[in-house]
Amino acid sequence: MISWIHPGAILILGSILIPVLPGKAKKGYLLLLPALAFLSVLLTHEGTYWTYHFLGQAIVFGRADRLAIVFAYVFSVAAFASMLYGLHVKEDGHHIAAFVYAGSAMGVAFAGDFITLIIFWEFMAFSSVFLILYRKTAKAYAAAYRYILVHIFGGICLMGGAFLQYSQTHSMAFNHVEAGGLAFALILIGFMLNAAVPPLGAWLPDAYPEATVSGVVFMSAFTTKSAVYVLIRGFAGTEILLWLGVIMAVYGIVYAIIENDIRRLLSYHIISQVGYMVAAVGIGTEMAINGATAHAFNNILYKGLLFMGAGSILHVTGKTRLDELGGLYKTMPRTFILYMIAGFSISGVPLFSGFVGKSMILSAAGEEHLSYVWLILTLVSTGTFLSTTLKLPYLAFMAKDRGIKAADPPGNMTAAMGIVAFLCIFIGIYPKYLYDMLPYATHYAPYTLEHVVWSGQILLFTWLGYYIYINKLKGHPGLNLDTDWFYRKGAGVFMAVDREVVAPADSAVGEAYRKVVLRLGSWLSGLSFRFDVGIVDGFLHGLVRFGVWFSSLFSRRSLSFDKGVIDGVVNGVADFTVSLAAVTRRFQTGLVHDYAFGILVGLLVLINVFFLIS
Amino acid sequence: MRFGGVFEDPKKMKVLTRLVYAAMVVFIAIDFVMPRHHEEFFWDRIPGFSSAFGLASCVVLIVVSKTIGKFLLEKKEDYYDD
Amino acid sequence: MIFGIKDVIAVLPEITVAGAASCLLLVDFLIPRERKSAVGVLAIIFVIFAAIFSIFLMGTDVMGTTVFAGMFAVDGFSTFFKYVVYAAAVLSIMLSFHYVKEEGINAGEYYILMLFSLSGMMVMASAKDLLTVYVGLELMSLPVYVLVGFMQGDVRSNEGAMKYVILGAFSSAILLYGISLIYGLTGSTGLHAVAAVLSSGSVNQGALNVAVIMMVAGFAFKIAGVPFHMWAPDAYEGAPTPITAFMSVGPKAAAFAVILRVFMEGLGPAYGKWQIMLAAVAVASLAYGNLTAIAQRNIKRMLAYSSIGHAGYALLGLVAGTSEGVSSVMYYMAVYALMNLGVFAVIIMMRKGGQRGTEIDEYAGLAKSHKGLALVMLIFLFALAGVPPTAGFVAKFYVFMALIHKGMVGLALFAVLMSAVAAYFYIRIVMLMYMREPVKEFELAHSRGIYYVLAIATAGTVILGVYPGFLIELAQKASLFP
Repeated sequence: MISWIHPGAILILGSILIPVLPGKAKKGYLLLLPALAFLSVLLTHEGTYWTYHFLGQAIVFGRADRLAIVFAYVFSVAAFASMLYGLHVKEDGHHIAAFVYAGSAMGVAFAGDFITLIIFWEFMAFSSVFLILYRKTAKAYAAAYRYILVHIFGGICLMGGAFLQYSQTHSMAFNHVEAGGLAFALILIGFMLNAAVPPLGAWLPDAYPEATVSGVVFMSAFTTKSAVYVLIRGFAGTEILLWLGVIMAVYGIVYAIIENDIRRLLSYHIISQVGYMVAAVGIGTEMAINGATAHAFNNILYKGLLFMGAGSILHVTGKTRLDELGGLYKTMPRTFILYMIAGFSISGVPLFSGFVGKSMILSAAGEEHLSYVWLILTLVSTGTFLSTTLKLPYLAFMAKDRGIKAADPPGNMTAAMGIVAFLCIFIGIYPKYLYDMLPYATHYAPYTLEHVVWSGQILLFTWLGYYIYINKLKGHPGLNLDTDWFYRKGAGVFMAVDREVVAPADSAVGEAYRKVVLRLGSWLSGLSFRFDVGIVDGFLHGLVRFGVWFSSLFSRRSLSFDKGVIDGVVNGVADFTVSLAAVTRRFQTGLVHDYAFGILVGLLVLINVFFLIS
Repeated sequence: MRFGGVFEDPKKMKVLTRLVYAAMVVFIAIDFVMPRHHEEFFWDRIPGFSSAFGLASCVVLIVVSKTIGKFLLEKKEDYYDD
Repeated sequence: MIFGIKDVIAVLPEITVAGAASCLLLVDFLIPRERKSAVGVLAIIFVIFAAIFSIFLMGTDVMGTTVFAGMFAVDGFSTFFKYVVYAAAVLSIMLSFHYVKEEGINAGEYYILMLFSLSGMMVMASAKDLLTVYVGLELMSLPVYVLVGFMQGDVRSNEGAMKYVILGAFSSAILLYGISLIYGLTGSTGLHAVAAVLSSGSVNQGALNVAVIMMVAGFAFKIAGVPFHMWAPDAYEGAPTPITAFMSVGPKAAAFAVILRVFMEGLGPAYGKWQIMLAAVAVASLAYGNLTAIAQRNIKRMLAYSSIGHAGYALLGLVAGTSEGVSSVMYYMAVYALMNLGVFAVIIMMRKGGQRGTEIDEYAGLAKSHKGLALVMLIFLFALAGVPPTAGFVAKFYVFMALIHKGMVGLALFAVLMSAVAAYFYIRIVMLMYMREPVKEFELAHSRGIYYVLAIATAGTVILGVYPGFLIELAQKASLFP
């Protein structure tokens, strides 16, 4: 009797069959897989399953406790709804990538040790990048490349941290991170990068808006929320997270308010919302952890719904910029209503799901008497209402009718939105359904008179503020700088250094020696003397090269000189292949000499290393 | 499902706006009389604090964001394309 | 010295390969120019015979003993490495059939030289005496020098060979110097005898330092460790591509076999001395190889630098100096052979007509027209980058664990960091294949040999990644200190 089947395994292994199934059957199968995964989560009892031993380490695929189960639960719901939303997508690869991605997120949720965690962590990065690539635009390709590189960096940090922690604690088990120093920092950085904590979070608004219409719905559910999960697991009560979370919440909302692209606006808004959760993890009390979990649960639903709405607009009109949209409520009424349900949920309007989740975090801050945290998070929630529920729908669905030809999207998309919208309202009306799943038992009652009255006031007066400034917040084209500047502009500098300095250094050093040997070799005997001169001359030559390179930064002309002449001489064997003279020259005076010389220098270096260290 | 242009009908919009104003008044009025069970911060005792805070934070966010955006963050769309 | 029957049985695989190479030299005369591939097929058959003999030896009482007065070992360790070099030779020959015709170097000696080189590698894997080491090393290297320069009309090929020969001789001299010093100090060249004298502590430490440094330098040359790597990019770029594939895995694996045995068994008591120097070489190789690879435009050159980096990873296992470290190096070499041969198979497939397939830019848009080929290339590149669930990930992970168990966390962290750098240039090719539009139509060489290699390498890379247990167990059992 099989006691447990990993829901992630159902999705990942099941996805292999997708390409071989014919039309109708394939669609059924695409919905069957996440449904089975959901069933498997429902049937999961607390316990530890699927433990293996590898290289002397316990590999735990199925550490199922309340925290893991609630995340896996909502992941499987999101996988189902997102797949239904993207059911019309033709490419099998897109579906496979989406399932591997969703399955890996569940793998992360059930991972009981760092090895399993790292493997699924990398899986998530490498599968989700395809959801960007399938957009098949030049911008998407470039964004995908940046996305994967950033995530490789994060994965490496996590891996390094895991190794360090192993060296300190002699255990690969993934629990609350007790290790100190660098191990703590590296693991935290790895997690925070996926949670998009600034300044490590610029990949998110860079990549998500370039993803496919249904791909981004998947992405909004899994990467950041699984990061919140691991933060809860490993870093609950870490004070720095409290402040980073607060900063993050504000940071995201500032960008969301000025952003013009609807999907980028929502992306920034993810950062803001995850900031809430990160702050709650930082508070770390039972109430706060419950709040972070509930908020993540709800957020997966309504954020997915928001992206579904924005995606529908893109799918139908091909536009995502607020300055090009307007008046869609008449032609896309269903989308409009469903979007507004998500908007009301995320803003914490009573009777919608956000109200019952987010308020737990605020109450946790209140219990701990963190007045600044409470004030800032409340301020941010007005920003949420302002940007996603007032500004975006006003400019996209109402405002000036630009006469865009549009209609509600295909049935599967609307149905997916309907299911999620239903859940948003259901949880808002019957919060016990959610509360019973939370990691800690709770008797939290969201619907008190004070709570409702205060929330109502805040929402109503936010509307008033927007009403006053309505013309200030119109969309206009442009792009907003973020920390991705450092690798989008900075990477060029690095590559230039690498190409112009590091790579030629290989040949340049040899070249320097060659000149020395040629010029002086006939009358200078004695290896040590030659070495002396070689070092001096090599250094001078290096300085000259650096000068040339440096000046090339300022002048294209000298850059081409550098590339064309110097590099040409140095490693342009290809340019000389025809000339026999060049060949004999290379044979007689060729770099071999200098390579051999390099070996000798290497020997000396080794000797030095040895005597310096020992 | 059709809305038939609700949001472009000035009359209907006026009714809608009035309803919102009325709701504001009602909520603040309740705030004056309702009993307090949780008093975590001093401002929990001030009636109408939430209204003032909501309006103020909305205005502050808009002004600050637009200012930062205008002077620091906003660039031409082809900024990264060279 | 009188050889017994036992001695002869123990070297049956070597006799098979070397004898086959000698016979094929004669057979070659009978085969017309356009059908020289037959020599290659025969070569493969003989290697398979040798492999069968190796299996056969495992069941006899020769196993686990030394023959030829303790100069030659037949044990699990040598058998493991022999299988790696068999695989390297067979797969490289399979890759060659098409390529040699395309380049017009379709000669019988080509395959025969590979067999001679293979016999040298086999001797190295079993060498239990510094002189056997040296003989094996030269027997392996000399044919490779010729093979690198096999394209007589190609300047780069000649240049690469020239550099390789001269520098190879140079490094051999350094190595010999080290060996003679050891002999002078200990009065023996046998690894066990050397170890015994060294552990007695009655050796002049200064001279021993010099000897160890010379040995490290000599061996580091063979595995292209920085700063003794300079020959590698030129030789890799110039050599016929199947030979590049061959020399990046075969000689490298054999050299690691020798290094492991010499340092762990012979110089084991001097661990404190060579550990520092090998660590220096490993760190320098990791940094230099990976950083320089980023700037390359030629894919063979890039793989040369990447192989320098991989040598650095594998060396780290030796630096750990434990049984676990040794078996991690063994696993690494086996996996590296598979994934690297896979990449080279794709490169060779791209060599057709006017299309050279050596510039990285030529791979732009490959995925548009050739989905399957791009996918296997992606698997190999991910494996080289160390992305799970490929075998490359497990290999690196194993090395890191060995380091950490030894308490060398700093080295492990550095290696992890460098694998992030490495990921950059491997994935750049993947992105090129999948993102760019193709410049022109691709011409691909269709050869059964290449398909076999692709299939074997792909299966190996994936299976050893998902289910690494059995090979790791083999490596652990065959490790020098089981």
